[in-house]
Amino acid sequence: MVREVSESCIDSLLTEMVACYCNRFYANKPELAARRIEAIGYQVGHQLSERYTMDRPRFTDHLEAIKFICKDFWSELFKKQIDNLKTNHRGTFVLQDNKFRWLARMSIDPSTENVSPVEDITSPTAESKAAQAMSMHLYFPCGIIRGALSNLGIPCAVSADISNLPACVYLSLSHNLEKTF
Amino acid sequence: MVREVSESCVDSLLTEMVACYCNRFYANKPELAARRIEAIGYQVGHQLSERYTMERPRFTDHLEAIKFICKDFWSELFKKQIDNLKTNHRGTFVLQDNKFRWLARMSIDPSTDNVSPLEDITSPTAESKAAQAMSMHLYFPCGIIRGALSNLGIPCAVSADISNLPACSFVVRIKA
Repeated sequence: MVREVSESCIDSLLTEMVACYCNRFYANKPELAARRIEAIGYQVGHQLSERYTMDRPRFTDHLEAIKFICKDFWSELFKKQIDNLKTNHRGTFVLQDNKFRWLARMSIDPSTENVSPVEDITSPTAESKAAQAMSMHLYFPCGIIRGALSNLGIPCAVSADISNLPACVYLSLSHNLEKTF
Repeated sequence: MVREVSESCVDSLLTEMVACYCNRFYANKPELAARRIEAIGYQVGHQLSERYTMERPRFTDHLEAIKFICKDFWSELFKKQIDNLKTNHRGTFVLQDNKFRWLARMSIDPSTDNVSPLEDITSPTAESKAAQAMSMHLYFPCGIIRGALSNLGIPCAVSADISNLPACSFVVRIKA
């Protein structure tokens, strides 16, 4: 039997991790908090991809590795595949998950404590605060993708776009490294 | 059935890798060559320890992780365990392999091409050249140990001592 872990535990752990790094460890340094969260994701992705590729041959090219991320890897993590994959054939891949599990049940209340009753809570400032808070939760999955691909020999940069919630789009830019000896 | 690889292939690969980095890619930069070889070892160790610890619970302390390296990990790599483990209980561990496989069949000829017939080939210079050449082969296993321990959550520095060939001692210093 495959070892499993409660999904609600993962949700809570992710929320708590982001809260700790953003509000306690690096309260006034959001860039540093983001870097740390992404680094944890990188380590997780690196280790998971090693486990999930143990019994399969090496991938012959970038596209094959990305397809593995979209199908098998995503299925292991989220019990579903990536819904849409696009590429410009020049090292950029766009992975779209139409209902990203780690955001699906998330409700962000842009800290209303010190908002006067008259102030519009849906003002751009409050909205951008909410977006920033939510984007903090995306550094972890971005790190996971980057770590997984790095372990497969593909160094890359990964960013996320949540302009169309609950869909989440991951942009993976693989660095075409020339061997410099 | 467990997938295996020919031991002679691994020997040849290691020899060729060291030769390439030392004599071609970084011919005049031995420190950089050493760093690169160690980095490759780190990656290998990191990945292998992930595979070999998949089915077991987390290690509770440093000693347990080091014991895993000495027993299971070393057995997977070299078909034998580490022969001797010592510690000062302050974060330093010495792992001794009395017949380290990757050095056992190694014969280093300290480049005799431009040595005059009268010159003693066992002179300190020639000897130190041989030692340096052999030590280059040790950055890879040092990297493997460091990578394996790093993957187990133990950042450390690893060095090797071959003053007592064919025995090889790996000194692991855990970073506080």
